[in-house]
Amino acid sequence: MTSFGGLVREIAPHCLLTLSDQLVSYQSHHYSLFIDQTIADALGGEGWAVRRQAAFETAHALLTSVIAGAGAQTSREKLELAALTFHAMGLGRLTFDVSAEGGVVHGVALHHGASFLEKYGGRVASKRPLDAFAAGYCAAATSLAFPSDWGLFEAEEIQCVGRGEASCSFALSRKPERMRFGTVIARATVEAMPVALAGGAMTDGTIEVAQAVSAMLDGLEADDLGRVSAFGVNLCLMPASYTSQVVFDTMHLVERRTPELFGVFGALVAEAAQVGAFHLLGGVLASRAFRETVGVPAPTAEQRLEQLLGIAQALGWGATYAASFVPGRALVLRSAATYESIYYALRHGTTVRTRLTFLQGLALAVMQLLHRVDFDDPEPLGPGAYEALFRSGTRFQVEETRSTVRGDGLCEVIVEALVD
Amino acid sequence: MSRSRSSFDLAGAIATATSLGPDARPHGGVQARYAGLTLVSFGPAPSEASAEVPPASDASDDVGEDTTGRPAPPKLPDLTGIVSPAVRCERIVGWIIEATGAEDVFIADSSGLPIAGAIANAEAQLAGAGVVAQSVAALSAATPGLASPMFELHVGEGPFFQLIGFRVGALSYVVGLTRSTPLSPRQAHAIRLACRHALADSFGGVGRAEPTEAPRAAQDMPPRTLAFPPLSPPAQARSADAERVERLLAYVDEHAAEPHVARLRVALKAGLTPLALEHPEALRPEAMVLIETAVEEILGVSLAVIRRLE
Repeated sequence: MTSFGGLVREIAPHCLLTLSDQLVSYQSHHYSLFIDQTIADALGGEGWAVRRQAAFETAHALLTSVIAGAGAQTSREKLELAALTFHAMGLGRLTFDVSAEGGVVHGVALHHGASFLEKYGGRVASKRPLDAFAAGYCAAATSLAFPSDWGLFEAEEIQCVGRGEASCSFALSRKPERMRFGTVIARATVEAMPVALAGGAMTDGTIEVAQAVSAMLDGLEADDLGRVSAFGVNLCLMPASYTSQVVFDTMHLVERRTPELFGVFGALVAEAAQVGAFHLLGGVLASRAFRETVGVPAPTAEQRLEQLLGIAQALGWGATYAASFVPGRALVLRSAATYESIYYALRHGTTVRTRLTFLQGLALAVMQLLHRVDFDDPEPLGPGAYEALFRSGTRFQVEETRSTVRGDGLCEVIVEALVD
Repeated sequence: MSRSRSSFDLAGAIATATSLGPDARPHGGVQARYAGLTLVSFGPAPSEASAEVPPASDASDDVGEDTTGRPAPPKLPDLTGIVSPAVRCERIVGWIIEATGAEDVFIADSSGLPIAGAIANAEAQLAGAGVVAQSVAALSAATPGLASPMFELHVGEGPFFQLIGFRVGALSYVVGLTRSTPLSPRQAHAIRLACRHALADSFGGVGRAEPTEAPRAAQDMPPRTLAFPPLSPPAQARSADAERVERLLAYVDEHAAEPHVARLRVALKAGLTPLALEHPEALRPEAMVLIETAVEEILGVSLAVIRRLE
């Protein structure tokens, strides 16, 4: 099977990545857990269904192209390919024990459940199963392996380590439902988009770092359990359609039902991006691999900004560049397109509201890493480092000032230091 | 979750209102009300429909428009010295009937609880009116820039059942009436002002149509709000709840894995705004359960632990 880093191909001008023909990005478990947690906060039990449906749609599109590409014919071949893909993406190990009538799928070291245990270490007990993505993935794989006019498979997580149980497992049964699919962002769609950086340009330093970090990522491989533990996080390849669908579907539900909580939901989704980007960008910058490949974290904030943006591009977070930077005060980040702006435009069209929560969170994380973390410290991102940011010291606020989904020519966010 | 719960509440209320509905079989009164009207109407009521309306009704169509030469509406009743809100409202209902020629006029609060007027055998209408008033209040709260849930609407093709929503202080009420033609917004507002006149003195609210000097003895008496339908919990209970909410929030701040976003999470889970959490004294009593459940889920502890917090 292809290595973790070797799974993806870049869509060069946009600094986006695809796995087979589906848009993906590298994400840490901090982001994955916080996003799912926020969906559950907003929708309660309904959040499970929203996440599982998004996972089903995403996995169905992804596996359809993977199966077609590999030429898998039989049910067994398709299920093996699905398990291998899941494993290679750093999402854990799945064992399918299913037939055309249904069955059980066993999961080991699943990205969400196992990472929850690792992150919270028993401090917080989940009362709900956590592996909605794996559930949707299992159901999609089994539906593709055993296609039938009688309907699709649906998976319920009957055991979850996040809930204190010994392992994770899913019961699959066929439901007489018609297939419901939304827009899927395929590689061809993104490649057909106009390439315009709208007045901005990436620096040579950023491009060099992006290339070096891409090479670092190419060398990573999932362990036997399907985990990629690197840069201090559990790394995975997360389909952009999944994260975008759960965020925007929930955002629209919140707007319709309790519009006064739109801002709260947006702030928490941006926080998911901030905590994820903080740990992953910071983890890469502080890693030994980075020092060996690129060099030490740069001494000045301006140079470190180049490095951080180069890492972000290598992770498939878009061709983001700094339009303006005043150390300690303000940062303006721009991008012609990010995976979330592309998804929103294709699936929902235009909007009058601010939607680009990932870009907002990314900008906040970059400012935190530039000003609040000492990379000369032997352990700059030790336990509690992130929480300490909010106890004292400079605080930052972010504003989405331009967005392609609001009719602007590019996406722009501004982060400013708050003055008490 | 709150959004689901709020959906269930509305559905439940609608189900309650529906269950209170009369049999499909027409009653004599209803038949009489619809007698003489065409079953299918594709436009404004024909002139004979107007002809059925008593002359008083024609005059009343011009509530507040007495400068046009048409007969002026009757004068508002003198409520001076009348303490009972029910009696004051009954007088205003009588005035509405006289001024507009409407039938089956009633006044109810936003929960659909009757106050005055044609409230016998009108449970379904009252319950439905309460559902509408609450839905409009929710819609108003959800619409940026709208501070007041004032509204008027009518149902039917003639006769029309019309609802007029108004506020007195922080409380919402509705007037329901049946008429061959709906009142115009201006006329509806005249009704609204008259009802405020009746209720404002009773509740010490705003929007008095006419200043009425209450007897000195009455001013010295304790507030009479508790003698009326219980519209808000006693101040003492609210204060205890407010303290408990503050303790819960302090607890979640202290024990949450991500304390810097703990209150945002409580707000989102409970379906309350962060501003509402900062002012627990203004929360409705049912908010306590929502907050407790949110804290329970965020911390992953049992509800019993949360409820033992002192």
